[in-house]
Amino acid sequence: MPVSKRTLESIAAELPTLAWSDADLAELLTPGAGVITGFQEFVEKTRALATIDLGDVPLADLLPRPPRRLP
Amino acid sequence: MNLTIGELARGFAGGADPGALAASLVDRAAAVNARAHAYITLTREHALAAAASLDRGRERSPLWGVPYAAKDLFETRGIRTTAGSRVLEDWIPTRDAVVVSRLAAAGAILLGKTNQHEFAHGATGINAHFGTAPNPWQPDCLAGGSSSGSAVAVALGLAAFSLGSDTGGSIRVPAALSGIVGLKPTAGRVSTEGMVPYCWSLDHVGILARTVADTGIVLRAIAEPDPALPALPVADLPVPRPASLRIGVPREALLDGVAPDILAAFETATRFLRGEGAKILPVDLPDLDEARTVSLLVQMPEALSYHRRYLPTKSDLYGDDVRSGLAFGQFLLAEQYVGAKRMIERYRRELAATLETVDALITPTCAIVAPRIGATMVMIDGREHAVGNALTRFTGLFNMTGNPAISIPAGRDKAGLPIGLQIVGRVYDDAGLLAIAALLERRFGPLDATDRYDRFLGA
Repeated sequence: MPVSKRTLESIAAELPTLAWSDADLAELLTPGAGVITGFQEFVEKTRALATIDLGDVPLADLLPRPPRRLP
Repeated sequence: MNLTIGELARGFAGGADPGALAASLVDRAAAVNARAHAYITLTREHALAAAASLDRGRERSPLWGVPYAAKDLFETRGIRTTAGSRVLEDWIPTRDAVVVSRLAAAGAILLGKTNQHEFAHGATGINAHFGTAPNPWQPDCLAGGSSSGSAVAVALGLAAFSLGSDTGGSIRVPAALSGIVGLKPTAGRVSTEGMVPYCWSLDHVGILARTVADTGIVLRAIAEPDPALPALPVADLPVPRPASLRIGVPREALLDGVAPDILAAFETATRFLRGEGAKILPVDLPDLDEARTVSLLVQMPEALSYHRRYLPTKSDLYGDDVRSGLAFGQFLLAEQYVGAKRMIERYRRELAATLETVDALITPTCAIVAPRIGATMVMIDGREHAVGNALTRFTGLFNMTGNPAISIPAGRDKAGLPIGLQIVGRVYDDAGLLAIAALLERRFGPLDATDRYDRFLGA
């Protein structure tokens, strides 16, 4: 089921979020600025990500570790 | 001005006055800024004072007297720092960013603070408040962002080099679109302290310059002096032995949809390297579309977390595109953020394994050349993509893995717009990366847009 503006409004009303205007939520669902993908398309992509079994891979550290053989 | 840092140093050694050069460049920038939008703030008095205070002794750093510009998200003591936003329009920091301090200690002269995409929140460089920096080669096209003004200032010869930041391609993209060199060093190689953050997990500080050698000189001056890290060469870049090089290239499917002239430049590069004796090996990379999703899952919540301090009272001062991006971060789940950080660790392990089989990777920097100002969507391979996504398709992965990556000019397309090639090195092997970039630079040569200055002046 696609994400609706009403869902976003409900989340914003019921959870400790910041206050977002109608226009902000509308831009999320129908982006026109060319900076981000639409929220619905993005949600579909995250569904695909969620099917990947990461085993016991931990969170990445802030900085990468040097390779075993230093250059 | 189209002099390299080495040429400037020789000029200063011969008696040229850094203060006079700085003043001249500031005046030239001011004369075109209403059209070039390269700078948000020019710092003439500061530059003259810095030049006057230079130690005139014989021992001089390679950056002694060299004029540069800094993206307007680096804190500068006593100088307005806006991050390209009305939100910080009147903010005057009380400290310098670490990287600005290092450059001051090296004798470099700050000419001003450059324009950018608001809060570095996009790769187009569009800025409704301070103006959008146009492409130096074709002013109806984008210079690219988010470090747009930093790219334009260098390309038009208004500074010898500039500082930028790169969270998904914000140095490499404008460098590619504007025809200059852009380096994102290994994560942690250069301090981000004193930089207005966009996303702590992915932010990098880096350099835009005219040549690879200039980039190396600046990197040596701004790198963290960490004895635990592999050192950078103190003098010239090492000369690579092409016959011993193994260069990884993405398998063909990953290059689907790349503009034909960019693909041709990429093939010219691999042919050149093969001709020099290097081995060219196809390698697997993660799905780049998936990687962008992972990157956004980290970017959006982190950006929102920083901007919570301003949004309740200054929401109306943000650009619409930035505010909606911040809203995006509000509706993602914590478990998705954790999953994305774990995916990043997986990408790091996979790429480290790949880079045990090759010395570096080469990709196009962008799949497209500079889009027209105002375009929000582009067609790639028969599908519409948001411009920002299309520009960062090949760059964003390496902000997650932290590998050093550089964009170098590789000629221009049939319409005259610059093409960039990206080279990616092993973690902390910034020196090796620069050496390979210098080798490829010999094939393509730098692009020179400094003669375009007069067109901006007379436009």
